[in-house]
Amino acid sequence: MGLTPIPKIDMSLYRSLTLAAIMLLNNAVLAQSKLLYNYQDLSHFYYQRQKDSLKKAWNCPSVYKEKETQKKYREIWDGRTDFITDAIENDDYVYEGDIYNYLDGVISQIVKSNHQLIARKPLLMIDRSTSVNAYATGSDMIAVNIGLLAFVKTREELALVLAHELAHNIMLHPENGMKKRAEWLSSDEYKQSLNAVLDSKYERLTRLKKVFEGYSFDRSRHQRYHESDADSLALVLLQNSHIGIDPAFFLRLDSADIQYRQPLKKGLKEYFAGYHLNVEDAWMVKRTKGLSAKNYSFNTASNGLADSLKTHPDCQERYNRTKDRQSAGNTFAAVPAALKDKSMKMMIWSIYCSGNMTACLYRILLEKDKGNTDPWYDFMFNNVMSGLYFADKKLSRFNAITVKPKEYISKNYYELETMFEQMPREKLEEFYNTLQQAAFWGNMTAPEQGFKSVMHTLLTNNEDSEKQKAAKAFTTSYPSSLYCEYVTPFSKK
Amino acid sequence: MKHVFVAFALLLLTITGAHAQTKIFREVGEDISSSMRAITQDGTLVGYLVFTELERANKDSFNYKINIMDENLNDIGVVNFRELKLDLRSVAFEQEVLCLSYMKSNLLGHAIKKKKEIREAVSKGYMAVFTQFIDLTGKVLKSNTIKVGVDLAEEYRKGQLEIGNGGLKEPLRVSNIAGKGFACFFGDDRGKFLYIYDVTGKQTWQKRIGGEEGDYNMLVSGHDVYFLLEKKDEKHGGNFYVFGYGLEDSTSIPKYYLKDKKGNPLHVLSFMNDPVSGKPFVSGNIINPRRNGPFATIKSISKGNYLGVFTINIDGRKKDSIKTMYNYWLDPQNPIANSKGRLLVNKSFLLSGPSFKDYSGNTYFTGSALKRSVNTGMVIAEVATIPTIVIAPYLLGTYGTRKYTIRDAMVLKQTPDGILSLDNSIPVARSRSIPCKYYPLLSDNKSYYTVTSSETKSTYLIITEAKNITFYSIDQKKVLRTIPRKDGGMETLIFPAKEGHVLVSEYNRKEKTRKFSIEAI
Repeated sequence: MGLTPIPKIDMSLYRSLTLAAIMLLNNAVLAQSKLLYNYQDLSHFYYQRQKDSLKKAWNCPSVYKEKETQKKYREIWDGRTDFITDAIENDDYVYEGDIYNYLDGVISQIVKSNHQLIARKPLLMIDRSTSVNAYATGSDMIAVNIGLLAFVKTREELALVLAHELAHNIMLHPENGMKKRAEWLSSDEYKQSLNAVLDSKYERLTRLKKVFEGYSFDRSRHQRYHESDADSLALVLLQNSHIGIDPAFFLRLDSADIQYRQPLKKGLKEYFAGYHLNVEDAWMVKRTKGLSAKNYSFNTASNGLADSLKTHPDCQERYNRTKDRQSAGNTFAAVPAALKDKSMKMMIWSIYCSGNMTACLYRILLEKDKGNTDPWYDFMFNNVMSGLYFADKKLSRFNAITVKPKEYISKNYYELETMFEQMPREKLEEFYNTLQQAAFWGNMTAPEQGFKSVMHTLLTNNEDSEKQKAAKAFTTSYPSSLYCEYVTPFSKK
Repeated sequence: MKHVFVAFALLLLTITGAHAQTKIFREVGEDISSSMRAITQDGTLVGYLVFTELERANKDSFNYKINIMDENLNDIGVVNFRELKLDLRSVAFEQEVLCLSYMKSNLLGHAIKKKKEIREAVSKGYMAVFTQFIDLTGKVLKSNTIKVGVDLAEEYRKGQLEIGNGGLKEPLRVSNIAGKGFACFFGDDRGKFLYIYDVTGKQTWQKRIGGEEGDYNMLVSGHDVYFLLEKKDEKHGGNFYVFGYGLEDSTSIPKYYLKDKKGNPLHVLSFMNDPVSGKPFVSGNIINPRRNGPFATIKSISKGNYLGVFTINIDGRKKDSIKTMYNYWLDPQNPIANSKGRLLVNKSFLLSGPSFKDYSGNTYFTGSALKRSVNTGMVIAEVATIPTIVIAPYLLGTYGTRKYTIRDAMVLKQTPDGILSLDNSIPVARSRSIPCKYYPLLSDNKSYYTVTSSETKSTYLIITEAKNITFYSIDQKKVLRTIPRKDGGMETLIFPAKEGHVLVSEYNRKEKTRKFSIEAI
């Protein structure tokens, strides 16, 4: 069989094809570089104006004739404003267009169908916290944690949480909470109970704690009475909006805060072997002579779960109360995969920036278990290892590992943190060097390559001026890259 | 977790920050006091413990809280209890049981104003040693109270609300006995006492020991306990002997006086267990009785207060199990210094730091290089001011003609075969030049301590000076890393931690926060 001759093509077609190829390539690069939000979407940039206007708009209303109560109320009110504005300044919030629009769509639908209850659409913020939660601050503002976005499966699950938070605002729970607190703190009862502590010779701390335990029980922000009310009103809001109700979500919340208890599908060694990194079994076996290796069982560990929806009233109880309202048909709209992916990436980047390398890598490995082959996770895998190496050089490996008590983590997580703690420094360097040659770098865009270069300078150059120079070069070349969040501090003296 | 020390302070601050009535919070806060102790086993740190006095519970007692942390500073448990006034002294661990030793009193901790009442309270009062045995479920297995003989009236005069050492002549200390239990030692006005407990807190035996006054150093080694006693010797210094007891049957191990073969007294730098054999050894300097005084001065060192260094291995209870190694500066076969101890290599004296053994049987003597030289500038000034009659003698009398600087860190190595050499000189910050006469009492500009890892059989020396902290590997003979003590707004300090690690304390001056972490060397 002879070879088919190559057909002659004229130059104009050739040019067109080349142009098309360049266009396609550019689009791909653009798509990759716009993977997540821009650096300027972090709240201290994006919400600067809102921050200033919040300060002006959130004026404490004059509610009480008694000066002391009003003064206390103002203190608490201003405390709330400071909490939000500080969070904006600290980049605790971020604007991401797609996620915002999706959330806004759900909120708009609820608001539109309940205009008699909700006068205007609240200010919506996306909180970068990983805990599965959302919160209403009162004064027409709600915030949704990125951890919730990564956790919910359907639009209806998300709507249930948003409706719940809107219900808090409708019923003025945050405002009433502040009022109650102000009233209590300026009440004779409170003063008398404090004076009684002062008058007592014995057990003063116990008595003082009792005063505040009583206060907390009655006025907790997750007070059962308030939460049940908010749940009930949320169901009404959803029904009015013709959004399906899925009470089973409450049951799923039981697993909301045990992400790190979820086992991996493979042994740790296998994940590392995928990058040609050889993990030794000995690194994962605790070799300490210390108490951490002993069989202690004090049952008094104080490290509870983070504030999340699970810390609301019991999930089973909430399910039982609402299960009759289950929408018929059970056809719920899945949250778009692209949004879920974005949320997960935002969360992983956020954990990385907070410096918790173990948690960051564990999330990456959990994503790999889902069959996710996105090379961005390889890039983050590399960042975790280089971040750990960098922390070790700065005599801060322990902080980068952020050891979690073994009661709250899976066997795999325990192995990972043990491995991070015990692997020799030379191996960290070796891992870093191996990852620099990995194949995935071929799929990375310019900002990621630039980030790699900055990390290399941070790790190999001892001169602060050189580190600063490299960081400045990155922030100048890629001013809108989200990686600027990590790099910018190094560009300053 | 790591901020357990300030847990209550934070609780109060949070409340205080949010609400008024600061007086009550301040007063309740003032009643709370915490102290932190390392938990040790076989000389190794296995965890940390924070002991907090929360409040006065009634007329006699206080409520206490113990936060137990593992070797990584993670909270693993809390124990609450009520007792008389306590002061925690030391904590040991053996077979899943913690042994806490306290000083306890029914008198101290109570402020009494009237003299008559004080007299009555003192007559009824007592001071005691209190040992508490807690398992890893938080259960207090047993507590023991042993009343001690101290001048209670004097202690009450010194401080009504604090116990401290409780007036003991030998401070209370407790050590674990591998596989057996705990050894508790203290000395009061009546004598020195050794109490042995099993892991349930039951007393196995007790003995009145020693009898002579001096400083006692206890070392549990296998199933023997040794004491190094330093008797006061104002003239020469170095009046040590070692004695001990079998922990199982309280049999005595005979005294061994620390002197070289020529009868020169020895100055002990280290009394610990050999990391390989687990048997005790003593190491230090050989004293030149004609030159040494009670304090090390630039003059005494430069005149040759030490003749050399020694290691004594106590490999058994009998005297013939004791093996000695003496190295004199002027060893004709291997001279490393002149007769006064001025090292030939760098013309400096060794200002002694700690001594220790590695996992190969070598003994190391560390310290700083002390260089004494002519103070040229001062000599010129003194000569130039001779015509003034008054100034020159003043300068000469005040500043003399010599100066000294404290230079590099030095590591001297004594092999198991008894060969002494300068193993390495580590360039670290030098001190400024100080006229010898102006400031004759020596103080090193560096501090040293060692970290070991039995797993990797490695020994490290940590050198801390004003600007940097240097981590030096004894085995690799190289500096592993140097970290600045002050970097921007951060201040770093290093403390002992679990094997092969250090506890890093970082203080952020701007935010006024302190961060702790346990880091591998």
